Amino acid sequence: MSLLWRKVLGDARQNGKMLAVIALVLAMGTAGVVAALDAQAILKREIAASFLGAKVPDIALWFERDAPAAQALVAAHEGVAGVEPRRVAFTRIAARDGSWLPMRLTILRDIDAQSVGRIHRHGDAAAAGGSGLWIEQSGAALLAEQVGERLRVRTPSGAIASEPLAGFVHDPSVAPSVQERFVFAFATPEVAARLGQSAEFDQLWVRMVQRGDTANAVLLGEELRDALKAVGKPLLRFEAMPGSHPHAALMNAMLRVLGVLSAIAFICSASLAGYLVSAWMKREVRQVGILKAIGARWHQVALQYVLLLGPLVLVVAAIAVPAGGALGLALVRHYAISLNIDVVDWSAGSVLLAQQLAFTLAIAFASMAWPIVRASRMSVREAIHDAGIASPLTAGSRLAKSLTLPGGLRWTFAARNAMRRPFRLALVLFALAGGGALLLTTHSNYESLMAVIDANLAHQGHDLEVFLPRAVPAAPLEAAVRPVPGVEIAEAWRRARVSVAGEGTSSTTLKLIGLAGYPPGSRLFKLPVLEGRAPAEGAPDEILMTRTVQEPYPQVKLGSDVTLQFRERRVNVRVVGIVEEIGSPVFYAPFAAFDAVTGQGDASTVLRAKTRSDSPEAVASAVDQALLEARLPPVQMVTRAMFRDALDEHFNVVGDVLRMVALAAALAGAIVLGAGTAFNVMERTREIGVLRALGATPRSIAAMLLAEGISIAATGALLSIAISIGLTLAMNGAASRGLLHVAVPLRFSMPGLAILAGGLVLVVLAVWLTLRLSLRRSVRESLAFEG
Amino acid sequence: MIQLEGIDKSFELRGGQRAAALRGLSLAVAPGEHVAILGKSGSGKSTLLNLIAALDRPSAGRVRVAGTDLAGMAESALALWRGRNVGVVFQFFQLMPTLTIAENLVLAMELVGGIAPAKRRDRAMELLERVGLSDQAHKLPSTLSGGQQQRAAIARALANDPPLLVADEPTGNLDSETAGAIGELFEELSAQGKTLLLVTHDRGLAGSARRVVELKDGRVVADTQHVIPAQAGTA
Repeated sequence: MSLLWRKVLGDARQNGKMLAVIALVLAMGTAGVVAALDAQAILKREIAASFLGAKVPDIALWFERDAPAAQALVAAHEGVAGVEPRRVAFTRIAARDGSWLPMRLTILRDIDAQSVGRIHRHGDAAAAGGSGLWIEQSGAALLAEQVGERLRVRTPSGAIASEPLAGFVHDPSVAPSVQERFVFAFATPEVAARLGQSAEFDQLWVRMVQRGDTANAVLLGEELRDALKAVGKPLLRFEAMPGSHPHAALMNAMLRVLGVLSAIAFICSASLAGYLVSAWMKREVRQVGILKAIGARWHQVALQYVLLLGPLVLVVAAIAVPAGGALGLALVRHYAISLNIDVVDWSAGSVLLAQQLAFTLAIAFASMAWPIVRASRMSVREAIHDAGIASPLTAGSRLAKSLTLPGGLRWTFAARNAMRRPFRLALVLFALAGGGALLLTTHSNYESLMAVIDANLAHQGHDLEVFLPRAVPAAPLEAAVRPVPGVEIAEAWRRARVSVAGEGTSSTTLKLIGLAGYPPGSRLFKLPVLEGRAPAEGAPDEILMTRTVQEPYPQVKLGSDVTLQFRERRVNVRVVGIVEEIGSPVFYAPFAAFDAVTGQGDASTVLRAKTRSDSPEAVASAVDQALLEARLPPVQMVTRAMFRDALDEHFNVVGDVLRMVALAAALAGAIVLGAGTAFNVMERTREIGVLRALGATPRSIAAMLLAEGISIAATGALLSIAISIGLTLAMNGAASRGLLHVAVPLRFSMPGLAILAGGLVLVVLAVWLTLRLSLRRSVRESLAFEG
Repeated sequence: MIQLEGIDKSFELRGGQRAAALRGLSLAVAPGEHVAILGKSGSGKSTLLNLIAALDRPSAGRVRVAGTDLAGMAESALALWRGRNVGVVFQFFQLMPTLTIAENLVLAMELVGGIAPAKRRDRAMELLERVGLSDQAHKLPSTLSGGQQQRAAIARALANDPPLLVADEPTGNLDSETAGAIGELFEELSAQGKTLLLVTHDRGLAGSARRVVELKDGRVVADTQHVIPAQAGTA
């Protein structure tokens, strides 16, 4: 074996622990990068494929009856790729714990074959004769029932019918039931009839040959409407479907976050590896000088260290890449469930693997090679002369000299020592500030969002909302609910969906938004009017709007005269005020204006109630029972807590990854700080020996070193706070625009800050542990320490 | 001032073997003596100095310095005792690189706490004046020459006014002219009543001592007054 390799192997034996730590750091970072990039690549591809595979309808046509009669005509129309009849009913289903969950029942001809709106069986699906109710697999956790067991379902009259659970299906076009708090069920017309539902299809779901954008879908819808009207099969209405997954925005955000995760994982591990090698080379300086003194040139010196680290990097890759791949697949499995998608192809692709390897290994190698080359180019005199604790005059030491703290000189000494190695300090602060900022940002963003939600919910006068399948007069509805114990106020409200016609709009841009009607003298309509004023009592042409109405209809402003279209009716109204509310765009109108627009009269589909109980859920159950007894069975009951929980679930789709990223980054920052502090103590063993020789007690040395570490940690924490404020504001803005549609003010997380403070504990621990080791040596041993 | 009785000191080597640095050594130094310790490399000179300065503990025997038996003292108490009673001068100066030389002296006083805070700066300037460095007081050690750094280190060793000054090869890193100046400084300190113990290979420095102790293989082989052994200190 050549002498060079013998030396390399000897160095490897001597520095085994150091090399193991470097390998561990690199492996963690590389595995993190591979996992994140693999998951991102697979999910991006499979999310799109899954949604495409579902053959989601582009247009829904509603008929008063007998939709299949028009199916052939629609299917033959130019631009139509597929048509299927459907009926959708809303009711409720009992979970194992006895609670009643809202359920959307889709009635279709064949569970196993659809050309539009495809679903497919999921898992074991045997049941009694294959007949019964099929449940979308994400609802399994909500129902907690086994295949074959009987499910209890409310009929439209309020009675309870039961059907066996035939099995689970997967509908990739819907968001998971646990997020929506909705069970999605599927049944044939025969089963639907047994559940008291009408078995007659009243919808045709249409899939286009080439969708393009929503405007194209609206155009085709209008053509079909006109064509059907011409042959005496008029539509009740049509709707152009969104064309994207209901949680598309969340999914995209999650994919972006995965990309950020990979970058952070890599930067942290490369920085830490570079830092460790830099510290190691500091200790190798004397050996470098000796080698050069006996004739080695700088590249020969560098080569021996590169030969030591090169194979290490390859070994790391051999371990980390498969580990990262496995971790990435686990991430994909987690998100396949939480996003409710089908994953068919689990491979990330060999091109991506090659890119990952090249990128991670090259950058890691470069980050370690730089301190090696730098050390190798040191002059012999500098290298061999480094026998004391002197350090060359640098910009850092000049700057440090100007730093003087009040109190004893030892604190000035500690502060200046913290700045002694600017590059290392910068690296530590970068890792600390980055990790800490991410940690604080995720917590602050979440608390900001939940604070806005809670504030908005507090503006709502009601804490219970009940939805009915059919409109009923207000008086019997209110009369059924008001006597229920715990109910303080009960009001029947009205709801419809309207569009805005008028200048600046065309039929191709008509989008349905909600119109909510509140009763005269309502005590439950409490949204503050932020601009303008509330409509006058009894005014038939004055409405309020939420700010989000301006997203589909930017021309609608305070004071606008708008034409609202409800079915065939067009009515002019004026927007007299603007309110703010989380969720979809809504117009609010007093009953007089609501009636003017819809012409529906005394017909309420919603009841809002305020309870005086600590447990609105218990009151909700009682209200449910009261409505059933009054033969007014609801299809959905939503308490404030349920609404809040549903939003929380939505946040968690991205929040989970964010928290993972933040924790990993914060951990990396803390490790860098802890390792850096420990190295600091170890490198300055001789200096510590001098201080002891001068009379410093172990306690005063510990105090100085702790002050040094804590000052770095505190600086990192301050930077984290500053950066996190900016990041949180940015994330809050994105959530405001893309999710909640209301302003999200900054709320700084104190628990997040407390976690950051835990990093200080790590510093104290690292200093204490290393100091203990250092002080075990006698002063003589410390003075003679070579590193 | 210094009494060593039956001192043994050995070090553990790899493989579990032990190497004896001092064997049954006994030595007494009176207050105010100026002693040079000579010997070849590995004779135990530095080990002896470390034991006297309480930088290390003997394997066996008794060390008594400035009226204190060093055996059994806890580390904290030993550190404070050392700061008050022993001034240590190192071969490579060992000044704190991030403090000016005046601040190096103040730090030494602050660590021990024997000089009132209000008087520390003035005392530091006096000591630097004494060693001819008052105009360099606010400079960092790395901007000074070797000789200047060693003089600053000597001033630091005197910061707490210890009765005993020990120096291990104080001129080993200096040119002859500078070494001579350092030697003169030590003579002045001896004349002022300090007890000096110097380990050195420098004949000139050894020559200025009143007493020369020669070690060989961990034992005192010669202890003479005003005599410099011809071959002493040579490798």
